[in-house]
Amino acid sequence: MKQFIATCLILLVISSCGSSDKKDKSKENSVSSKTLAVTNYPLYFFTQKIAGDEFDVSFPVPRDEDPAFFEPGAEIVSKYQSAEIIFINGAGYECWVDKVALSPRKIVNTTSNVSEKYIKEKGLSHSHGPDGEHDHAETAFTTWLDQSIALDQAKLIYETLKKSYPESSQEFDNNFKELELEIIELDNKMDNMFNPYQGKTIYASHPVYQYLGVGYGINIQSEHWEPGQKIEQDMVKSFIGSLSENDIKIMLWEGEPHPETRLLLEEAGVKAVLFIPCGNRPGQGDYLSVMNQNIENLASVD
Amino acid sequence: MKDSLYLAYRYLSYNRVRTLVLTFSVAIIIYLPLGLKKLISESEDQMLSRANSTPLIAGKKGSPTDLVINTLYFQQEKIETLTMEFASVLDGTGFGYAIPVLSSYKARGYPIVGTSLDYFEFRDLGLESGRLFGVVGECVIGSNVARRLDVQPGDSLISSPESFFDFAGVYPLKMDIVGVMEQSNTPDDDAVFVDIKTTWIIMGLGHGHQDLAQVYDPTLVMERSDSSVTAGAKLFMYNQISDDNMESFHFHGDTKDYPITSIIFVPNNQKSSTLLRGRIEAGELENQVVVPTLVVNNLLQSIFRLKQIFNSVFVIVGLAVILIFGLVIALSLRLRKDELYTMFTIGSGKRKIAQIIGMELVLLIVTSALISGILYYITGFFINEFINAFII
Repeated sequence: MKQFIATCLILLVISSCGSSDKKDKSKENSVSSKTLAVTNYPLYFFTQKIAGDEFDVSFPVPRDEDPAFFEPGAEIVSKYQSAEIIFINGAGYECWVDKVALSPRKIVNTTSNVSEKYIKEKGLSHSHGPDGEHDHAETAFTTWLDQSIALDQAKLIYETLKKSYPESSQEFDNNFKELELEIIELDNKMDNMFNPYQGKTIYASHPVYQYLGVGYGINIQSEHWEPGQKIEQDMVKSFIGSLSENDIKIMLWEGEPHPETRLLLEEAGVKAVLFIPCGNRPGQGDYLSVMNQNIENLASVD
Repeated sequence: MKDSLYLAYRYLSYNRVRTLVLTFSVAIIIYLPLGLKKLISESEDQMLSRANSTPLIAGKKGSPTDLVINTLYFQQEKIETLTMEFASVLDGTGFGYAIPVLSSYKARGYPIVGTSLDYFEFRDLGLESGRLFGVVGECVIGSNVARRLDVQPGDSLISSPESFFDFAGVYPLKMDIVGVMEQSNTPDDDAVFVDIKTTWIIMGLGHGHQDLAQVYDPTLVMERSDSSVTAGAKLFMYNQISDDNMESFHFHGDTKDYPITSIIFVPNNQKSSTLLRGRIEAGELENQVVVPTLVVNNLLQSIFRLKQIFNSVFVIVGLAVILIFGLVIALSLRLRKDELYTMFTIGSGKRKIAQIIGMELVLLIVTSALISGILYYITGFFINEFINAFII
């Protein structure tokens, strides 16, 4: 009888240990399940700032890839699938979203509230089969370069998080207020910077500055030149030949231009200015410091 | 007692044919009402549990039965489709979340069910092997599909064209199998699951082809200008989605306008469900929203009527068989008159003779009961076939 009671007690202790383990595990799961995923660096920065340390913000795009032209493999898709909320940029930024299996209710398009500000660019139209003529019109997607849109995006992230995790509402409020002030300050700086160029034309090496142009009242004309790549002399000369005397002789580059290209441009009086859109993680600093550096780069031209 | 049993056994095994006929007649009479009852009650349970676990189904106005059967059992009746936008509309109500379903095509005889990942979470379906689909062109198969077609992750399945004579219609799509679902004993075991966008590609609403801006073959390009290119029918369309051609796949138009057969709507709570149904009934939202349990219950009413008819038939047949059985026994006793007399003259009492005959009857009835028990057990395996043949 004593042996039986002892055995029962041991079993009881073991089973209670097991259940507490389970409880711990379920608690662990509930903590680690607060995973958010994003598709570019500005969204990563905003989300991390607003959500705070309690949340795991996943941005699985490799550092050397451009998130706008990235095609995720099965492993990365599975990371997005396991997130509770996926913040996307929208405006056609993530062309891969149409080709992967993600739960629609988890996806939050951060520019959905400002879709009337989308800038459409017509693509080559084609026709084949019974569908008739159609084109894959593209939308300019570096929306966050207009800081007022960036603020709208951050606001939507904040509202979504508040609705989904009401228990952390107070923390979100504080974090968002801080971020809001920082973005407004950045917006003011950009406004001041571009004020002298209002209504004038600035050149860009690549068509990524559309929202910057519209947001700060400047006309941006873009080439299709890749940073680091040596641009053929004829192309550079043809570009220089097209410049008029009244144009602002500044060309924005998303990355450091090839030294020979820079030299050719500078010989013609065109200053190559680094203005990094910051779609992916910067090598140093964060979103705000990169944008501030962009402003300083422009300021140094004068 | 033992000797009576032995003599009864010897007698029955000597008259094999008569014993077999009698045994099976009795077995069938015992089995039929019980088996049918089991079939009907288990079908009811199975159908109701599937319906009960599905709170609401939205679809185009039409037959609610067809809508529910298509959504719950993937019986691909020709039902009118609604647009994907309605799923967003339902999501936007804030009453719960919508799971789109598009079940119109087959792969090697099994329904292709286009849906979102929420479906697996909602049905609590686990994976036996592999993973869930990650990109378009991938599929996850039910356990019965895997077993019957002898396929596994790494193999592929080709969607069947709607009609063999529809040369200009839907192109078959070769889908990569990436996972096999655990057995759930539901219609999910017999389905091929894909992302809803894959179904749209099967329908021809999305496709991948050579980049027309890069194609200069005059037999492919009929007309080219600065702003447009017109290609001929010779333009190669990809029939399998791979890493190499994934980039070329695209959809024409807004996917919100694309068709789906139905929406499983999972409300936050009973109040949300009632409020949504109220809005639909008030005409604030288009289309119909049905409660699957009510529709399936209506459907089962007709089965109850069928069951009553069967029961009456069985009572009459049973009585007839009992009479025939009695007649066979009586005739048999008459035929065995000499044999029984011999038994009597060699010393067997009347009681002993009655005991031997009783034992024969007991053996017959016990064997019949055993056979009907086996049949009853086997019946459980034919519930899905029964549902398909008599209910759906």
